[in-house]
Amino acid sequence: MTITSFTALPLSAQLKFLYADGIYLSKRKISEKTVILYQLNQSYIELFYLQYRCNVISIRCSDNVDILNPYLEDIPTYKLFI
Amino acid sequence: MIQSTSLKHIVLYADDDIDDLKFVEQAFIETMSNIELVMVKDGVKAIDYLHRLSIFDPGPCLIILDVNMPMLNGKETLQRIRKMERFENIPVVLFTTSSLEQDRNFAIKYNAGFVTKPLDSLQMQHIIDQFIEHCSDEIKKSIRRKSN
Repeated sequence: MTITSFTALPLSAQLKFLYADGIYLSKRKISEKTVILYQLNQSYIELFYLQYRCNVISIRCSDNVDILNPYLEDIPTYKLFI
Repeated sequence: MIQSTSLKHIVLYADDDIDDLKFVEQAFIETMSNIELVMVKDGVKAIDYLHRLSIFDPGPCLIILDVNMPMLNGKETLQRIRKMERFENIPVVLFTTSSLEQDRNFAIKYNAGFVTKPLDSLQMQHIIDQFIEHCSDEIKKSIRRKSN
């Protein structure tokens, strides 16, 4: 499934699709809100929650790896050198 | 002879993700009235909890294990539980962000359920039902659901 066809789906169908075929990668916090990152084929999909695992307020899709940057910044790389 | 009667059924839930612990706790509180959720942060603590139970203490009716945990992950914890005589047949569910076939097959091999973590509240309602479905018939009959 391409990003274009995925984004054309209604939210409920997108979530069903992600639930069945998405690969969980990571999560991050923006203030009190949680964002969960999934991989679906060659694309990355972020779910923005108003309430964790309950209310999705928006979805962002991209095939650009730049979407990973906020998650990579959260990895404590100093531990690799201990 | 000592007998103890617990008014609540115990569900043991191990997960290192504090958000998921709170989320599942809230889901049980909202839907079930006679379940006590015991939450621990990794597999070692789950095994420790089970080891500390005396023969007079009520054991859990269900164990829910996150797969990716530090110290002892959910799969390793499941293997250890199956080696404990008292709990070798206890209902266990692997509760995970994964939907990988190999993880699902691992659960089947060790006689456990496999439930993928939900993405919204609608999916969560089904998942609580899936959890309870793994309990024994006797427990299922005595679990009281809160009316909406």
